[in-house]
Amino acid sequence: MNRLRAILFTLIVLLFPAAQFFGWAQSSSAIRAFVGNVGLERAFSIGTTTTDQQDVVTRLRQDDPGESFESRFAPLRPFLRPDQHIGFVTDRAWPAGGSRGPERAFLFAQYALAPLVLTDSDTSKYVVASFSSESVLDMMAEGKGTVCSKRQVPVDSNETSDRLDEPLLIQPVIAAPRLRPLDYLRQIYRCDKSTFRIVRRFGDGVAILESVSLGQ
Amino acid sequence: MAATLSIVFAFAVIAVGGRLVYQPMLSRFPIPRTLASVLVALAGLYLVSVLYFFSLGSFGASRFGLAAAEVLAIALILVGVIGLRNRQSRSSSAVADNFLPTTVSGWPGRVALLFAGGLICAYTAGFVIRSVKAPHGYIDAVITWNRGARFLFRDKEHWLNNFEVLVGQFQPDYPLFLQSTIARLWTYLGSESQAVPPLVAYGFVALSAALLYTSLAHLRGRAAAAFALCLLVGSTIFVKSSFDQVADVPIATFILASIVVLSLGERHGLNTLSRWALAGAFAGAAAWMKNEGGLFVMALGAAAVLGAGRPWFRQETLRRVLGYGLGAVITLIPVLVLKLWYAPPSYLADGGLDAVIVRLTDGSRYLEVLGLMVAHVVRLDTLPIPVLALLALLGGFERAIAHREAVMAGVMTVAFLMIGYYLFYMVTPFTVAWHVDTSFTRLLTQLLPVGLFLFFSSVRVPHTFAGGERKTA
Repeated sequence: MNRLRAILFTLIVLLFPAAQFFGWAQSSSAIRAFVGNVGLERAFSIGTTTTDQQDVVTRLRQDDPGESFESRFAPLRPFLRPDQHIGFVTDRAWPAGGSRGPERAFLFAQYALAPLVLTDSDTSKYVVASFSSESVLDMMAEGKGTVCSKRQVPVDSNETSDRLDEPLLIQPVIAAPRLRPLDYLRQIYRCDKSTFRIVRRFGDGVAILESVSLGQ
Repeated sequence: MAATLSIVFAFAVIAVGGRLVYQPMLSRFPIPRTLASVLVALAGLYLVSVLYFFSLGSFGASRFGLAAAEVLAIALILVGVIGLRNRQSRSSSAVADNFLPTTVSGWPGRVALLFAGGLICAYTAGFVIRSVKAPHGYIDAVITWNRGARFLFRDKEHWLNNFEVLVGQFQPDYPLFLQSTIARLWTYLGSESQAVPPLVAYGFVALSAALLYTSLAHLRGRAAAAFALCLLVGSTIFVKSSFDQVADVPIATFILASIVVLSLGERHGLNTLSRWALAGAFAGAAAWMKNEGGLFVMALGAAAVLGAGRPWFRQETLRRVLGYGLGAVITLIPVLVLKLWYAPPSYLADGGLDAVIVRLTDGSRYLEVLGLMVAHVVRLDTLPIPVLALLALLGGFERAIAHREAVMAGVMTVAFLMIGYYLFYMVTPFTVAWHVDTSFTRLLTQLLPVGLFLFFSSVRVPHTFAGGERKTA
């Protein structure tokens, strides 16, 4: 009886990590392909993997998004003083359907530009721009873009959706705290024509801009 | 060459400083060297992290200034230790077995140990791949700990900017243990090496696994330790959390250390005041790691007051509370300085007291929070909690636990923490379902090592079904 208990006890302890590793392996396309090649596909598809288990493999597969921000923002750092508080604009995807593109861009920019403090206020005279291309930067400088920022006063939500055909530039990127996804999606941005002047370009859509409207 | 010497010095200070801080206890606390080394490393890491923080606030933490401050601190501790040793040498010192059991009795323990070895190799390979591909860590590590480390390291004049970043996004109110540890190593290296954050993360994983294994091996035998190690390294959430470079595994290590020193003290007859002081010191260090550590300090403090079912008014209770309070207050000093002088208020304070009352009077919220928390606890895919229930049924509970008071205190602490988490979710300004889903598993990760320690301290493992484990010197 004790022997049977010992066997069961040991098996249960070993099965738990084995099941976790199996779940991770199931999430790996490389392992899936290998198992398929050796004809064990059916045996390999037992059970379902959970999000957490898939995440382990996703983390092994993905390159660091922080790395691209590091190289993009590195040339800016000598031109920014740490005692300045500075704004941020990006043309990352509008936060529809739960996308956190602009927010991520803001977070990584702050990480790359430390100890400079990026603000979520649209009252900064100088702004760090992180655009997808130099052409977007040019449109901005020519006043063809739209800058959308966290609204300070209630506005008609239709007003923002009507303008989505124009290049959409969100400043600041973040409105609600990161930990409020539902509020985040409900947010309405206040949008205006861009009034920026390029102070210095750094290539790849990165620049320091000056807000012209604030100077008037 | 200078960088190499500096980094050797940086690690030597951790070892020497930790050893000196721990020395007064070690001399009366004869535990295996490997186990002592882990505790020494944790004490050393805490010490240098706090020194770095205070150096920043005073003279800017340049490489040579920092080295001088660390040497001075070690000299001061040395003077204190020599004084204490002279006093202790006049009193009798405790005698106990100073070795880990060198063999594992029974095939189940040997199989588990072999399996755990394989898991650790696979885990390490995964960690290396992850760290090479993503040295900055998961987004939470990027915006909180690694960002904070950059603020502390990059500009010693403007390091206070760390507390001016947006509260909701970057959590500048967080304690600075990890941030200062990383920034200190960068300072000694003289550059912002991307290898440092993953190295620190892996260091804490190794320390937590080593502490769990060596403490259980010492107190309950290697078989129990090997089973616990399998369940720790095989837990998806533990692996994911450590890959991410977030502070859940480091805080889990200090939570475990608090209960381990309490257990060792009880096992080796260390007086109540001293062992609770040690537990309090490690608990305070947990609060320097993450805000949740503050709740842990209160939970273990409540366990000290209620103490294993003894009447609270006894003299023994007074010693426990006094010892715990003394230990915790000392290591909480940097947390208090940070919170009182530097850190902005937490975003959790949003809404004020009126909003909290509204949430507490919402009847449906009570059941919703409870249901969501229970659903996470019984999940099989991340944590081994249902597995542990099954193992307890098979193994049965040990009646003669050598460190019974410590185990009871640990169980009570975990229970108090659960109540604390429940109340926290009750008053959260965020959507309950979203907040529980995104954070509760991580809170459970912080309790995983201590949970496994308490479980394998109390439950019989296969080799004890038939006989004991052989200990050899």
